[in-house]
Amino acid sequence: MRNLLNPRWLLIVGVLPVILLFLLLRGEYAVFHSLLTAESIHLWKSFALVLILLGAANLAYAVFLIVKRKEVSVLYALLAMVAFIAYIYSYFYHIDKLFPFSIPRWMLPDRVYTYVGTFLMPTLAYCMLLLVYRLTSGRKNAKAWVNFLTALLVPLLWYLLFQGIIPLWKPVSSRFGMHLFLVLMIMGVLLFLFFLVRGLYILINRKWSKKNEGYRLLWKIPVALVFPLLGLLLNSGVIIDGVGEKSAGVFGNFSSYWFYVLALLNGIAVCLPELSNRTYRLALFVARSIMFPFTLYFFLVFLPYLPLSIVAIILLGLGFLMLTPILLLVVHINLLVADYRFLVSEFSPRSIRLAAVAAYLVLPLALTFSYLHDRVVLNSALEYCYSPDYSRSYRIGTASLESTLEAIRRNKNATPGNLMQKQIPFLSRYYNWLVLDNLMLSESKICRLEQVFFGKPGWGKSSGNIPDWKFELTDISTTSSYDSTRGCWISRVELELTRIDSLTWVAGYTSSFDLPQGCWISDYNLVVNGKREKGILAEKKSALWIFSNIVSTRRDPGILFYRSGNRVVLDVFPFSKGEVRKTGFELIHKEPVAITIDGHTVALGSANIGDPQAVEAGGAVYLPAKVKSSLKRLKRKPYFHFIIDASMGNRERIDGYIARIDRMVADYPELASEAKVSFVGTYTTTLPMATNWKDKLAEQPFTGGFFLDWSLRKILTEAYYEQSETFPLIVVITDDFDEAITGENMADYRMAIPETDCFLVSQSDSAFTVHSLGEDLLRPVGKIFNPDSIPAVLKYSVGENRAVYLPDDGKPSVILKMHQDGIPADANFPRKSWMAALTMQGIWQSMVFHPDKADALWPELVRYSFRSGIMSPVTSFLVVENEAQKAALKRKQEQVLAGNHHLDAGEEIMQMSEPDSLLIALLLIMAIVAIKRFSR
Amino acid sequence: MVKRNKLIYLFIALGIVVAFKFGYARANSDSLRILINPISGIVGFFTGSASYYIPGKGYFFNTLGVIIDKSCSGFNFMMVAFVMLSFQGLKYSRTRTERILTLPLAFLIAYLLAVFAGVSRIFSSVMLQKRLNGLLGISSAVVHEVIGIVVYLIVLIGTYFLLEKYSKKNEKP
Repeated sequence: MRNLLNPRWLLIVGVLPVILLFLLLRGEYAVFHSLLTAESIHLWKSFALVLILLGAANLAYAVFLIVKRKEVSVLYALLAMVAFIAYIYSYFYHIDKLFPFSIPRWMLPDRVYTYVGTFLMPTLAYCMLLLVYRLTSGRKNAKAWVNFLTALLVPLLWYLLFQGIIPLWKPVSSRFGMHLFLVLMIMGVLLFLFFLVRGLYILINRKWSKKNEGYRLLWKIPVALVFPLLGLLLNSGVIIDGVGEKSAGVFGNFSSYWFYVLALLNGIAVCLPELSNRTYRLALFVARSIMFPFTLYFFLVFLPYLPLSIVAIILLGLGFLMLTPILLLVVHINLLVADYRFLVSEFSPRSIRLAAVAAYLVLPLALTFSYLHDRVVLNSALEYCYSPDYSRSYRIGTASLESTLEAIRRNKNATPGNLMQKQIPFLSRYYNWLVLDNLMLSESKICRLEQVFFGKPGWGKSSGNIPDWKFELTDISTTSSYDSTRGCWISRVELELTRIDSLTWVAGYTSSFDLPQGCWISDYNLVVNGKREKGILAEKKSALWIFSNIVSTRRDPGILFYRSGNRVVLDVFPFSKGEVRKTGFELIHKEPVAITIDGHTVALGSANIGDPQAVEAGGAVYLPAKVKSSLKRLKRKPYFHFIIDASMGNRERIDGYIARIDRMVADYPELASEAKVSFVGTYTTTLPMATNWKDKLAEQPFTGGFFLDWSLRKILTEAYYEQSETFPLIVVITDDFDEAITGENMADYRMAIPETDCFLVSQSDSAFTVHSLGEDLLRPVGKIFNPDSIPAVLKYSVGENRAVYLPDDGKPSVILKMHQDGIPADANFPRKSWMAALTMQGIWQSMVFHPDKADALWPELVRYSFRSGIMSPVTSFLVVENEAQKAALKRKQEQVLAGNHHLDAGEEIMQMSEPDSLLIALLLIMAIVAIKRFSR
Repeated sequence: MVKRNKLIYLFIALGIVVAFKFGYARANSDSLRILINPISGIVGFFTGSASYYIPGKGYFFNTLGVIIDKSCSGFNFMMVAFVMLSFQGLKYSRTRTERILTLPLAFLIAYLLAVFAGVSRIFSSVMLQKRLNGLLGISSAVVHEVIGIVVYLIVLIGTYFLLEKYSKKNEKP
């Protein structure tokens, strides 16, 4: 322990944590400082200044000692202890002013209150160990039992204090009394820990005779083996609750069996005898060094709880287990030092140090590699589901994915349940940072992955009553003007919304409307408290996360975003009974258009200015209706593309599927000549029907869920890129279409087959139903299938050998002429210009038809959307109430943009977990006893 | 207090709780639908919200953003209530038949109470949780836990003293 006197320790425990704490708190302060009062801001600044002074004093003292080649003194330990305790004490005393109620809790990270305790505790622990060493070393007559007894006296005195003196206490003033009480408590804790650690230090350093060597195990086994295992069992509730849930613990979720295995191995490494065989001793030193991070980890986890240990001992005898990590750390360090001293006489000190460093890294590196493996597995699963390269063959290990999803659930930081910790302290944060980029995989996405890869059931059907909120669009006004510099119409739409139902609770207005082709949203506003607030353009996921959080606290947000295809959603919250609110947005469009909102159709723009021309930007081409009318009209030939449900448990249905397909082929032979067939389970296999597809069907593995979404997207993408004079007519063959894994709809793919957005579903032997790709895929649209009524389309040449087919609907169209790998270098259009919007449309369509490139395109599109000030499918307009919400949005947006874009900004589902049974039982007994006593 | 000849029944009640706890540790939401179904149905009725049943997971209320699953089934409450009611029933039972009948009756009442307490707890949480978060400035986990504890204790203590009053009234001198 003499090494503790080296001033370099001060840099590690006294300077580095202070810097980290300062940076962390500064980051938080930057988000919510606009919500603080002048008094709170003054306090924050004072605390920051004192923190800087503490860190600077530590740094100056450490540098001074290093230069002068001196050791850390007792006086420093005493002064630092007083100063840091005073700081922590004062911080918690003012906590309500530092984090006042005006800051919404969702703006703060989970453990923000414990930052100060966590980061300043290492200095206190260091000072304590230093004092123990300085005041013990060299005193040969110091007795371990005297120290243990003195330590025990502290809880005993406290007990007496609570029982005898406190009830008779007549304080001068309540504030003075409270301060005195707290100071006494802190002193008690310090004395208790000092004597405890001192006793242990004496015990460890006692010279045992060879004959009595075995007696060491008498204290080693409890401290290193029994207490840690007992503590883990107690924490996870195994001992008390017996057989309850093992997913949470009082101090953290240590339910993984790895903690028990490591605790056992650590205990064995600590308890093994120190023999003088050099090879054995080296192996022992390496083993103890490997396990040292484990001991250190639990020491750091329990550090903030140490002051509670005495209370825990008084209330519950088992509270002494809370002291195990500190005791184990002292033992472990001493053993390592003893081993090192022995080994340097046998080997070169440099090789021993190297071995120690390598050994220290074993556990952290193993953990990191395991997390990185989870990251790789998760990313490949997400890539397969959401941004696949259709030309690649995917095979994802299901066992590995299953354990990854389990780990993600274990480390999730949302899901408020009970007071028990569901996370693993520090490690969950590390996991979320390394694997999930500080974002989250929402329960619905985990559910989707489980559905796809393990064939687990998905969301069921809706049931129950939906609240009957009613709104009326009481006024809609528009203004349009042609901007010749931007070359487009600028139209403003102002809405007045009135809530007309008589339900009590506040309601939210939601409406969706379709934007015509070539029409985009360039501004949004909402009237909040009589003032028209301008919408800010934000990344869509971050905006939706902020919106849902603001809605939770019932403030005044409004949001506008693309749902799918050209459908835009407008959400305004809240509306009390009969309330009238005003909102509006701005549109840019090339030609006059009409939009329909809540059944009201408004015309925007008047007669065309000039002769409409085809316009090209960012690989997209805008074709006005007039240009389209001059294109060649033709009828393409449809062919069947059968999608067969080859998911888990469908093998025995093969014969029925084949019979149904044979019947359709017989009924419509003209559609069968070029037909294709896809077997769809987790993965999709596609074959021409001319091959021996029936044999191949029997060879399918029939695993996972019926991932229809993936196969539909692949078929539509191929159809778009092939652009031949034939097109696929999709027929889904399954016995349970409700179990098909689908997205909301395929509206973004509508241009792939301009003739029709319908596909057929055969669920039984008798008939098939017609469904729409543009609507809810699972719901039939009530149309009748007639291959003769398929309309003609228009052919537009985009190159020497390539043409794009367009619907002959008398409306303008936007097509993707050329796939884009990034924002074109020449796309420097002015802000809010129509050309910039067309460029974004080209990028978005490139993302839709080349999902494998979407990861790279997505952040570019988000940034280009910000630059141009026009909403795209990856951004949204949001009105927030204050600067703090804007800062929180900015922070979330930065996190989202830096991470995998398939991850989520936050959890959308909240569990309604009930309180722990033991807690309820205890409180019930206490309450009944108290009531009975009181009523006597 | 419970006399010795009644202790055996109390141990049986505790044995039942331990056995059920073992089963509970291995159960998923599907196995607890006897509790989850009525709770979700009544919560849906009172909040006017549609719910989706996700097999193996529970009822998801889209508009409320909550999921009622195994952890919200009210099973823990039911076990505490069962022990409390068995204790009370045995304390005031006079004949062997009464003692034998106490346990199934306690179980039935505990089930009904669990549904009632579960609905009250979730309904209160849905209605109050987010407001209290903003108002008190504490995390939703703590607010949720506190609401749960308060509701459970009110139901349990209320039941206990009601039964005490009723039993004492009917006790033969």
